[in-house]
Amino acid sequence: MKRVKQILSMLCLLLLTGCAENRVEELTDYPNGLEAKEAPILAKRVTEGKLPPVEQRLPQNPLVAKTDFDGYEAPGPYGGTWHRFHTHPELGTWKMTAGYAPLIRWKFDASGLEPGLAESWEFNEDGSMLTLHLRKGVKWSDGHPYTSESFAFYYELCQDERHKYGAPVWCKVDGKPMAVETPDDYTLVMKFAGPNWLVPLWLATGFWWCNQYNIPKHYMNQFHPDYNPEYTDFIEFERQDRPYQNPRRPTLWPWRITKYEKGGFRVQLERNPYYYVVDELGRQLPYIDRVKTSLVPEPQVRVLKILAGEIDCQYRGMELRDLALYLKGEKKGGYQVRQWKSTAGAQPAILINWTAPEPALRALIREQRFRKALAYGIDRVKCNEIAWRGLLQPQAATVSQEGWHFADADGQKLFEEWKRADADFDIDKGNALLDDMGLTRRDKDGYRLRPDGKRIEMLMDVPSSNLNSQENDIGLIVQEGWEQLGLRTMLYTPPGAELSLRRTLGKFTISMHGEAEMDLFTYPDWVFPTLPKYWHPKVGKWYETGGEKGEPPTGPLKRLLDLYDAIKREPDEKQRHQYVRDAVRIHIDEGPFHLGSAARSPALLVVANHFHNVPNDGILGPWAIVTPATSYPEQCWIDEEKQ
Amino acid sequence: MGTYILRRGLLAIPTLLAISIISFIIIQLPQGDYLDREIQRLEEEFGDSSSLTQVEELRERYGLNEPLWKRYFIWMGGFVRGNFGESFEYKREVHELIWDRIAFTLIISIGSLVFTYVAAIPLGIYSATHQYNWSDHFLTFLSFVGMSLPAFLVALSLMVFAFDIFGIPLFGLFSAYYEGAPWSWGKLGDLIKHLWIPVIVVGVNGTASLMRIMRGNLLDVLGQPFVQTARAKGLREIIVVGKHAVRIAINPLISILGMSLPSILSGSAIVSIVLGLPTVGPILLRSLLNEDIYLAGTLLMMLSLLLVIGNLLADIALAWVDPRIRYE
Repeated sequence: MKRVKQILSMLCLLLLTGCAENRVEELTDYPNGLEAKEAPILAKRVTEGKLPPVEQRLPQNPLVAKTDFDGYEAPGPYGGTWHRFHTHPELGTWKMTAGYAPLIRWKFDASGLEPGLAESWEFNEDGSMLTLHLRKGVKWSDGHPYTSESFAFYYELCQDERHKYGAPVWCKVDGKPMAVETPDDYTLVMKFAGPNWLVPLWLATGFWWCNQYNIPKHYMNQFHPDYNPEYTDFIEFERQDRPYQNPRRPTLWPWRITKYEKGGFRVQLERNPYYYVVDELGRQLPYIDRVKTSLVPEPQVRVLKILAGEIDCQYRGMELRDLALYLKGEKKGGYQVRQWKSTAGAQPAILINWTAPEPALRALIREQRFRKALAYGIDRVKCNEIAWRGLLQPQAATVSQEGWHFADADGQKLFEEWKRADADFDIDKGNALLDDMGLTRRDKDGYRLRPDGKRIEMLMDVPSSNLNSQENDIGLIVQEGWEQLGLRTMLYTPPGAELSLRRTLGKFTISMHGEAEMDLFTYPDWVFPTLPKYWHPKVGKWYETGGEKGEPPTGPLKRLLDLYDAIKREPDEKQRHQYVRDAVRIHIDEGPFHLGSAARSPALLVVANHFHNVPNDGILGPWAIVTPATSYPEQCWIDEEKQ
Repeated sequence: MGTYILRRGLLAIPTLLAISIISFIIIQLPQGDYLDREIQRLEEEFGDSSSLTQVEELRERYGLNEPLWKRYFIWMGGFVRGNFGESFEYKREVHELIWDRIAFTLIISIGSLVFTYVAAIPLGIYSATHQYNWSDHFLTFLSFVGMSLPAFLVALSLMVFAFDIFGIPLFGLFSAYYEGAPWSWGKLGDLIKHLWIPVIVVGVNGTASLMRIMRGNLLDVLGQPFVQTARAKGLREIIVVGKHAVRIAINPLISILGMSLPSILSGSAIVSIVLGLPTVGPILLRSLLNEDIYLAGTLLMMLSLLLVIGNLLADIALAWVDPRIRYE
């Protein structure tokens, strides 16, 4: 018995010392500070033999993160945990921050493209063939090589009838899909039925395309019906193919998901040991070891989390109305509020349905003088002061002024003209235009009558947003102005999804929608009527379906669509921008087609005082250019002593 | 008693079926489906829905093209076998999302129920035995304030004061450190530290009104002849009130128990939304707004089930306390 006791106590002692030893073994034994080429937690795993050395994990020619922005301080130490929140279980705000690993990237200032997973790319002479040269030695987060096989596999899926997702619109020219060839592991060739100059932009645009075409074949095969007879459909395949949700699916993101709990309410990420981007000194990124992000759908709880100093750095998810509160809490919460640009051109834009269902109203709307009168009837200064507390600027409805189409002096001059076009509040001028149209007869209530003798009545759809009340305030201001023009205006708040359904099906007369777009080549629909949206739902339907449904374009809309077709065929980038400017000219001279209210709100950012390398200024608005991911947030670092 | 419980149990089945059909229809009454809502949400929140590609394919994948009755039978068929379907918004099986939320909802609801009764009964007794005393007036005043303040307003004010004065952010059920950590004594302590606020906030209205009821009942009973007899016998006042009068006066409070369950459950939903608690309330609201039909339907069924069981327990408790109740 005594012996047993002795052995037991010995064992206990051994266990205790074992534990103690574990605790003593600190990561400080590994290279630290700026001389470390990789994070100590990874270096430790390398010495344990669990991971190949960093030289073998990085590509031959790694991508070097750009630092040419205001707010970049210095290369940082490895380590730390980044606390933040997301607003939706699909982690949209996170993907826009660090879920962007495209073949070709948008530059941070959105002035053009730069290499990503592809080192270089070139078109053949007529733009019908695009060749991409992939970076050699890039690896998925499980160490498997990333090659041209990935894209080929993706495109195979696109063409597979059983897989529900068809080929994306940019794969097709005149309705004919492209062909994908992979001469070797690092060369990717796309052959189109005709010139398709915009494809590099599509490959770079949004986090949604790159997360579709970067698909790990070696992992996903096991859920593919052709490779695994256990499955007869793609339901399980699709369920496993979610990089933001499935910790086992290899990824190319700087941080990979390690925990996705309770439907995304708690998500943890850890550094991807095979990440292909390095800093200026050749040290592997990211600097920060872990990310903890939690789902906070309630806006007031987000505010509290920030005020309490629980957030290290947060892009998106803050409302402008809370700005004063955030500023007041800066000191106590140990953070700083930064204001980037939303680049919004109308918050919201007042949409006038070019294809309004009521024929008499449609005839009026197609008359430029009528639309101009409506524009003169909006008190934009009041919209700004009342709905936005004077933080925005009153102007006509435009796309984003920072867009690359308007980069030079001529472009800015044109844009300023667009912003000012019919943007004054002038009831007399509006009334004069309506009188000039012959709409002089009025009923006993003082409202103008249509040519057919009925009162002009317009229904304006106003969103019932529980997020903010700006649209409602602006709706009332617009109504007030138009009533002074003798036009009966009624506000209507459609329940549920009816608002967007009325918009896409073209059932509305007047509606609202926030407007911002940086790149009109890939998302042209604010200026060119290419999709069933905004101010041109039925003409857009016609263009989208190749003339099968909807209504054919006439007059200025026809010319706008012709210009967009020319953009798609044009090899010269400068000339493509010129076509956009020509289209804007049509909007100025023959518009307005949709009306402005207030615009250019700041976009808020919260950065803790111990969090470094966050740009001081940038664009945080339209999704297509994927900010802040293009600023390489993987080079942010945390001063752990001050945390 | 046994047959009574059995009969009530059997009766619950058609009740729940009827609830499931009605709620499933009502959830889907608004125009458009989940994907239309999702497009609108993206547009409202971010001004753009271009991240949602291939809408029609998703619609087919979720079976949103099928007629309503077909969707109902698919869902109900799975439901009885324990497969509640998939949530569109969370892209997870519904059962993964709901169980610990239901548990937290139960903890908060039962906690407030206990708090309500434990606080209301002694206060009511005190108030009745000190009728028209200054302390009775004070308690009466408090109870009227408590009854007229909506719970969410109490929660909001608490949040503002706690932050302004003490600098404590009041939200959630765990502090950031324990959030997501495995269960431990420390985490349990942390939970209790956070739990009392929602428990009291949810219970405030109920406590105030129960106190008034208890006071009124006891006053009624105290005026009855048997109380005078007891006093005449020379029993101590504490026995007269505690053993004889309260025993009778408490019966209505137990029959109210069944009725106060729904108000506590819905009260906790609103308070949870304000305080950001991980209960059923916030995801139920979101799923209804988003027409996330299987999640919303399942949550409504679970809440209904809780109510049916709660009512049954209340009835049994009443029968147990009051021997005059018959089972026919």
